[in-house]
Amino acid sequence: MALDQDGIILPEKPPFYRDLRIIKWIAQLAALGVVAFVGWLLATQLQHNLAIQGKEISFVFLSKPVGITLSDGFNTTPTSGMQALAVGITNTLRVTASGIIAAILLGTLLGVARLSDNWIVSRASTIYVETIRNIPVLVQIVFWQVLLRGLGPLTLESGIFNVGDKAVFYASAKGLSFPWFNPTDTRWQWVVIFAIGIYAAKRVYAWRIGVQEAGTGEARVGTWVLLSLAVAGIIGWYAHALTGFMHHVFLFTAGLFETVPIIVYQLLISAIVAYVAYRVVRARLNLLETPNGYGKFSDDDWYRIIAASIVGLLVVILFMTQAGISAAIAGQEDVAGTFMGFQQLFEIFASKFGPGLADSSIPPFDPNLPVLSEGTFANMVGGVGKVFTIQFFALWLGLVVYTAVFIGEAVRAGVLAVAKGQSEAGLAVGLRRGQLLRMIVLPQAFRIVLPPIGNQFLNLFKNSSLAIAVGFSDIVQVGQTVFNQTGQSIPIFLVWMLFYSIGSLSLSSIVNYYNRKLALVER
Amino acid sequence: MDDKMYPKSIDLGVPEQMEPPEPPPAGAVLWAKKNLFSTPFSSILTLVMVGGLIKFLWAIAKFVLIETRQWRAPAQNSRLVMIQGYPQEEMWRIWLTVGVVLFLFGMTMAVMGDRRYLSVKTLARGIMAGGGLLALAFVGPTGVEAWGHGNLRYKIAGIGLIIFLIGFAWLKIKGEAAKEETISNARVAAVVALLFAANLWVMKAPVTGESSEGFVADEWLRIASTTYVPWTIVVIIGILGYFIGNAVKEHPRVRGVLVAWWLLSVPVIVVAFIRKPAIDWGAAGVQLGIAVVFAAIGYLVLKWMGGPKTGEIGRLAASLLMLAALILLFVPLSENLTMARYVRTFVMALAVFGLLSPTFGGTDVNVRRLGRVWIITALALSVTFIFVSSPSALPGTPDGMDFLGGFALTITVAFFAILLSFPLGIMLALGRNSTLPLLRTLCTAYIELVRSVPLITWLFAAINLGDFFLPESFRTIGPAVRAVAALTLFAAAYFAENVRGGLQALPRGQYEAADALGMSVVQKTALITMPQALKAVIPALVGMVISLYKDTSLLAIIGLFDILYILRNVVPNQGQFIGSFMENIVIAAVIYWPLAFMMSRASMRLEEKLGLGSR
Repeated sequence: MALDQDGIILPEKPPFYRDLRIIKWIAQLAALGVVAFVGWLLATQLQHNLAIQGKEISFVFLSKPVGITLSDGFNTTPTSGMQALAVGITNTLRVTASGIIAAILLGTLLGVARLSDNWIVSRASTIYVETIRNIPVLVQIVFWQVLLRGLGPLTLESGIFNVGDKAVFYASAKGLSFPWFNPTDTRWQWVVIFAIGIYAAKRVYAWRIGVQEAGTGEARVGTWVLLSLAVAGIIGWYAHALTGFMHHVFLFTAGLFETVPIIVYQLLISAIVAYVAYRVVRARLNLLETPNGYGKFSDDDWYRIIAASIVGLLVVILFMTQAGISAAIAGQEDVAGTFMGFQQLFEIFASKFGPGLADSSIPPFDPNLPVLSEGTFANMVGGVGKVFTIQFFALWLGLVVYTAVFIGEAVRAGVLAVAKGQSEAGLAVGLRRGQLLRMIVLPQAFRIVLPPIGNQFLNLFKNSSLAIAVGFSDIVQVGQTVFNQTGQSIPIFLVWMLFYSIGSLSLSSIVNYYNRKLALVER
Repeated sequence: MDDKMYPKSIDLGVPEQMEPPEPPPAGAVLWAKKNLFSTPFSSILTLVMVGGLIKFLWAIAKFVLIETRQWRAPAQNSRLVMIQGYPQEEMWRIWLTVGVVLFLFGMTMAVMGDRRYLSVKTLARGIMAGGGLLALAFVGPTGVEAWGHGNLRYKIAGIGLIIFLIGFAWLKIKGEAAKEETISNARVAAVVALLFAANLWVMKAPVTGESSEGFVADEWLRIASTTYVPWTIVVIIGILGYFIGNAVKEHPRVRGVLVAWWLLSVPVIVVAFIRKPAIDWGAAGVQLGIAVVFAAIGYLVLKWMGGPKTGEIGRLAASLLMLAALILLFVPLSENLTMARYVRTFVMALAVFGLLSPTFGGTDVNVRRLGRVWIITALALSVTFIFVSSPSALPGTPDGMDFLGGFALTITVAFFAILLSFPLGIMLALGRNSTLPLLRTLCTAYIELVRSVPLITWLFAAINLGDFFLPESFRTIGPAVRAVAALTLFAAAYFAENVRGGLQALPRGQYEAADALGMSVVQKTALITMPQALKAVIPALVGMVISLYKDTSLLAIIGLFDILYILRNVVPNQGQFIGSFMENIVIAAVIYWPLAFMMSRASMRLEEKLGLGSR
């Protein structure tokens, strides 16, 4: 034992093989080494196997025709792999978006029904929930498909609510159809005006909330907001041609992207990346500033500082040396024939406005009924009415019915978690049960209910991949077909991973944003 | 003197005999008024719902009973659906398995204390309700005639009436005692099982067979014509299990042993029994001998490494042993593959035990216990190895798990996936929560990546991409094993998230107290942190088990012969059952539902018992 000059025992430094800090870093580097080694093993095995089987990984199929026909989507005969995948992506998003909206509505209804006073309503919804919960979602989707396939063939008799010699709805084994406002070429002009209308509605909302809180008269917030949106829509219907000047704006921007030299982009992107890395490092340093100088860094801080610096440096080097990437982003070079840089993007934007259109004065939406011709729907060929194929409907029904059950359970848990005193106080003040639910219980329950519901959205998004079982052309089904045609399984798998990662991340960050806004503010 | 100072009774103004308060008014009309017609809106809802329900039930009855329904399609294919193509002459193995499972189930009902009781009144009312429902067949849709028995619905209604009268008579006989007397759930289940078995000897149904004129309903056979004897035997074995369980209920170790049996049941039975491994007894003897040698040497080594007198040298030796094991792992093997793999596994196991010996050893008593655990582990490892590395002797089926199908495949895949993903998930959760930044990044990246991509994509990856990434010797692995691997890796990420929730709910004081006591990291995790964290998330874990069971239905998409695939693709293509889609899908749902429902009920009871979620 060592003593210092006052006779106090000095702490001894442990030998290096027992020093915790060194062991921690050696262990981590060893773990990283093991992972890297396994990765290297897999990579060499991959190369070896590919060489033996004479195949290779290439993304060429993205630009070549793949000769497949899809069952559903905005383009059922895609001319390249990229287009096919784009159709698959839009189909998945379509099912997910409409499924989420329907599932929220049905789920809230179900959750409230389970708590109802009425014995029949609560028992029936409990039986419904317990039945649906315990059957796998794939079995349910296939069930709906079999059920809907039992609808008769498509004839004039299979229409419902006949209007003259057309019917408003058709239900058959070919698909279900609705009348629809089909968007025309001029819809983007209308969208611009409607976007301005949304901003105006936000101001109206803030104004009416102010009136409500000041207590000076009937605020009617909802009515005012809806009215302003409707007014914006109607103005847009008639005045959308005014936004035709955007065409020139976009063309000008595209021209900018074309003429500015690449080196400017490289410098710009490198500067942005360097700035972000600097901010990260600076934030860490700021955390530790104490009045007497810098505090000690923990392992975590060192790790983040080093990681941010290294990653930032690597990205900057990448962009500065590989001019091609910046060129592709700007759209000056045509990488793989189909890559879209900013220049092409803005040119596409320009083509949606004013002088870029064939006729910029037609109304943005075109209401029409589905039309039969020779045993099939006319808009299987060209856009009239809206037809949902049986596959889409089966998938959609299965997903909505299944997810609504879980959302209903979450809503029920949230409503039960709101203090009983709230509902008792509301009843004592004389509110009816419906008003009580709408104005007192559900707003408070919303905070508890949002995280599990966000989880269910993610589940719905991922369960939409089961479309392959019913033949609906979502991205998994399209990817599988393309893989069968071209044999490129690894690129397809990468596309799947990319799409689903980005989708899940976006969905969960939207939900997290609302979560944070709802969080209780504590001191 | 006492009676003057302390009066014998004090008059508090309370009457001598208090009458019990009047019971609240009861009765069917009052109940209806309160629950069905309390407000005008509620009344409208009741009327609408009753009307809707009647229409709905009528439509379902018509769907079920209409004469074009081919309910014989799933019924005659039930063997296919349950085990798909297991060779006929080995069926006794399957029946033995079912017997073992029912035996375990009976024991569990007795031991785990299914102490739920039904009052006689409830039971009798239930019987009356069931009988009444059957009697409703009298007014049922007319399609029932088509079952080949002209007045079937009168028969069904008659049976329903008899059941109703039995329940009614029982209630009246018991009279007032009906409310207090109770019958345990287990006894009810036993009676129902016996009735089911008795049913099989008596009930007959028409069987569709082939004849020269085409497909006709030939003869009326018993509904389980080839299997009613095994079913009866198996039900009796189950009831026997209940009685044996009752007898050994009080023994302290029984619960642990039962849980261990359940967990090991499916893997052991499938690998060692149903697969019919062809064991090379000569080589097995040699392997067992090696195991004994390893066990003895390992015991001595561990006793030295973990002993109280060995210091640093013990840990250094353990690290060197681990290094040697890792090097051995990567040395390429050319000949005598099996024996080399065998020895390699043993060295690795000994190295792991060696590294754990300072933590779990330390004193003479502990070190001896560690040594005993090592011996048991060594022998178990040897037996497992022998069984796993013997090829299957089933006629006409390839190796791997491709001899299984249908419901057996579902159960096996689910079991293996759950068992294997559990430890992996725990390690991932610990890694994600650790203070080592690199480890945390790796685990977080893995978990987030695996969770954001749907399961079907991982299954496709395992089946298709596996061929690119695996060396030749591994590429003969069948699709079933690949599916289990994909399911395991997928479930481990979800498990990790749940366990992480439990770890975060742990108060920091636990960690600090463990540190204050001088516990090492391994001791702290294994003895303090993990038990509490796992107990807190048991409901979420059971929910994960249920969804894993439901997710095994995705095996149908990758072409494995599981329930959905057979009922959707195989049965409707059989000659006599073409077009029988609807019936098969309904039967598929009916097969999946009971197990999931029972698991969720058990989870709710477990939550109540553990007192979670209540303040």
